[in-house]
Amino acid sequence: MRYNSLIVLILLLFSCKKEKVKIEKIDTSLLTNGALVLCEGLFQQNNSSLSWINFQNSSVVNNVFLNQTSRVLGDTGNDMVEYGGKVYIVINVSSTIEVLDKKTLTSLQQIDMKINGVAKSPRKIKFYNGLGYVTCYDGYVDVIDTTSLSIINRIKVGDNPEDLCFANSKMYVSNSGGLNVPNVDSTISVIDLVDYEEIKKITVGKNPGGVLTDSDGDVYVITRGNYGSIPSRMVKVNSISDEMEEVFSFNASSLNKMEDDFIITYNDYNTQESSIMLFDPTEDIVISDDFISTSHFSTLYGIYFNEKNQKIYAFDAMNYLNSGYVKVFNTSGNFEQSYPVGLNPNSILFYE
Amino acid sequence: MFCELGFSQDSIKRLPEVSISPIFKEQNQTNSQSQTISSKQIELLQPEDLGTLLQKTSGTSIKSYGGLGGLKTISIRGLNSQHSTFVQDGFLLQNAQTGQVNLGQMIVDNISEVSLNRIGRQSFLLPVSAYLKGNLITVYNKNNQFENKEFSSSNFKLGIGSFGQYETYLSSKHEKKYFLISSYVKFRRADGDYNFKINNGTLDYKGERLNNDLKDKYGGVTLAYRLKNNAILRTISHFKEVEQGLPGAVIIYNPIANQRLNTNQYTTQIDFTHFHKKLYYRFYSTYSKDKLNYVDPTFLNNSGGINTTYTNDFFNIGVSFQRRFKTITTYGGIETKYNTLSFSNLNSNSPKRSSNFMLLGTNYKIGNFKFDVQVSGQGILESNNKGEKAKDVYRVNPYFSIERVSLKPWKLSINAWFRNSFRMPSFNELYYNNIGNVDLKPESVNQFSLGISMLPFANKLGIEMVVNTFYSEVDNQILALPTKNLFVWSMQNIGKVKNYGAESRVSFSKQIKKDWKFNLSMNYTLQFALDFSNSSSPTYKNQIAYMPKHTGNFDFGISYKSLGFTSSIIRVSKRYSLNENIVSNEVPEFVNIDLGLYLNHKMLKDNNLRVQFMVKNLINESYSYVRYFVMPGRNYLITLSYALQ
Repeated sequence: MRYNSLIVLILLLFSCKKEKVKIEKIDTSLLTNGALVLCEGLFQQNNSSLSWINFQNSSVVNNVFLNQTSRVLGDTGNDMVEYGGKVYIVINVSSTIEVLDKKTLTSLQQIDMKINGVAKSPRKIKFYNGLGYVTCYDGYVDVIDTTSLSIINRIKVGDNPEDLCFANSKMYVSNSGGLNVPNVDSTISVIDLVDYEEIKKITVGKNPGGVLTDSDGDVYVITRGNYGSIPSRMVKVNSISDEMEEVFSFNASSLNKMEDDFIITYNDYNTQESSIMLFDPTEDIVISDDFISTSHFSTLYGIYFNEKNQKIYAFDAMNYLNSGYVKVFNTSGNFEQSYPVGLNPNSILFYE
Repeated sequence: MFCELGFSQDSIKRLPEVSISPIFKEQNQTNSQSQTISSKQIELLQPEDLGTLLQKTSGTSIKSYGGLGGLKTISIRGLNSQHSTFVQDGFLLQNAQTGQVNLGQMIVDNISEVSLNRIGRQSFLLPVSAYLKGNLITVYNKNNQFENKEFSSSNFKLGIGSFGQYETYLSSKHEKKYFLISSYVKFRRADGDYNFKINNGTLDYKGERLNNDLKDKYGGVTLAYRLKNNAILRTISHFKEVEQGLPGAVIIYNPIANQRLNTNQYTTQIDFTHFHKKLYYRFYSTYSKDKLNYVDPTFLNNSGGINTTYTNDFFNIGVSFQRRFKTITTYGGIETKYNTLSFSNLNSNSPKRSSNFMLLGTNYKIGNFKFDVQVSGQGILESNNKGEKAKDVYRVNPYFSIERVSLKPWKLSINAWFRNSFRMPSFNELYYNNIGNVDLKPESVNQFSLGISMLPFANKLGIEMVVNTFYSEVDNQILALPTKNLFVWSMQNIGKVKNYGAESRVSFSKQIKKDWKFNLSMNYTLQFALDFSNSSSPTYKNQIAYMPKHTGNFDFGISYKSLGFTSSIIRVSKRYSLNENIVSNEVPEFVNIDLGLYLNHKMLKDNNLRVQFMVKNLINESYSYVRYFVMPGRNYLITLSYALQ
């Protein structure tokens, strides 16, 4: 029949090949002299990922989590920290904490971060005396037992807590109140680590973000202002008196440790003005206000110092929609090399 | 059957005596610049909404977020949904807040015909604002027109489907020589939750798409009065009330969704059409109020969630005319349009837009050649009571077309056209809380098209073929980008996009033997929509997100007496969720197959009972248009319709 050829053509046109995701496990004995990078991905795309950078041969393997566990990491990975040979990855929108063995990258536990069916939206994790502390956007800090890998307590803090640090046996939590825009919070909560009670709320300035303790036990807090008339600044809190001591006059949007000093980055989204400076917190002086040139970045998205090889690793999120880069600088602030990684790199763990 | 574009001379001559319906509908014919779907096809396909129906046209790609009543938009020849204008029964449909029409909330029960027309020339009496954008889609309901017979008719339809879906539709029309009244009402409900299975790496991720319930009501009344001097006065009123859950994207490891959206819309339209010798003109006006209430009870703020209402008011008034002088037709009109948006939270903006349009065109026929030239002028004035406002816009836009018709053999017709158009940024893009950017410029488009249509082998096999090629350039494309951080996005005018491709259609219908009928139609579109924004970007010359390179559909039907079978297959090639065309951004291709079986039974005099059974997504694939907005698997729908006269 003369329609036969037509039918064959139609079947060809509509035949569909099913593609399965291909995975290639990496040889975990090669997980040395390199770094594991958490790439946040994008909201509602379930595309958080891990990239492995080999410092020896400068090669990069993307989607390491998927390759090692056969499943995806989830939606919006916000933080990755190592503690006791385990890697803790905080996944904000999926509302989970993935715990991996650092050496083999096998999954040890997926901690579910939901309560009564509602996501707690975890943001950042820090460790202190054998316990993990996780800021959750529902107004709590969750306490994780690092042996049983389960939540053992919830500490009530302020609205939408962002970051936390420890000083003088106390925990300092920045309450951003970011989901109440424009009525954001202005406080940090001081928490007693024995009875998990809030001792005090210290008013530091609008929209508190990153917090960091220096070697003297002082607490430094970024107050991000309103992205407009109120500038993004750094303030200093005395952890003995729990009073705010100083508001620094320079712009600052993130705090990062380099040995005893701080690398302070700044990015003004309206003017596109940005800077990376080096700050000495013991003397409270700026060592260099142009430590690393921001001309190397489209969107600076985080910066880390590797004590072992004395190099600085900074993230470029490009325009947030394209694959990002990890850029390497020496301690003089000179660019050395760049590694292509996944979408929106934001955290890094170094392997010896 | 296969004659010139748009308004044939015959129908113009017949107009005053017979019907005004050709003003709002196109001739039922193939030509390379328009595509029409008739009520018969609508009945066979039983689409849930206009979006599903428009998927049957070439050159289009639909983006659906899934679920009954969920957001569905159309992109035509690579131009995004905001470059399309929708006209229903001769009146503009509009939402200035989003700049687009949600096709998932346009029911098809009261539609007699849908046309996709790229050059806005199927009628000269449409609202002036309908001719100004890149693409035009017209929807027409014969119950809202005089059909020039004294009669009464009613239709009743009952449907029961998977996922707890029930629907009823009732319409009636009474027509006298000088008077017409018609009305319709539709109720629909669905639990909506459905199971899905997607890949989680190499593992399966099974889940249920929750919070997908829907309850909606639609209704309308039309009154029309024919005055003796060949004039018709008409009012059409519609309402729509939708309560729906928003299932959101499937978030792996977090299945919870609690957001809800309630929509209330009321529209009143009025027109007066007069056929005065060789001058026809039409005054028209629309008022519409559209309320959207968005509720998110689990948003982690200290007021216990989000509950915001957006109120859109839209009013327009205008006049269109056409005047014939032998082989020249002149047409045009003026229109003024107001849009306002208010947000229920006090800190927000309160934008107002007043738009003024002018159109003048002429259509000239010499031998087998037809020429059409149009010039439109627009002045768009913005204001904002509570903050900065966008810049006013004044533009003049041209359009030209040339066509050579009815070449022998095979009635070959060739045409070429050029259109320059733009779209205003929507209110959301300009003013929405932190996201909006009042500095946005309009998105501009230059479109070129070259098309051929023909009827090969004369009429022997009933084959119609159309091939079009197209090219367009979009400047100042508006894109949402995260700026302050990943949770604070902002609209930017940074894109430049070039679209090019080809679309083809073949249709074929034949009576095989006595009582046996057979029909087949195929569409295939190849389109490249490439990012030309920045030559140093990794996305340079990559395919724009969510634009498939290949789309095709294949429809086949066979009937014996009153029993019939239909099948419909759609295939959409892989797309990318972001402009960077890398494996991790791939959204897999899919094929969707729907099958239907129906029986028509004539009863009493002219009454007809119809029972139809449909299987949708036969192969039960959990596919998605938008990444992680997973569509339902295999589902069933049975409908019973009764038409009485």
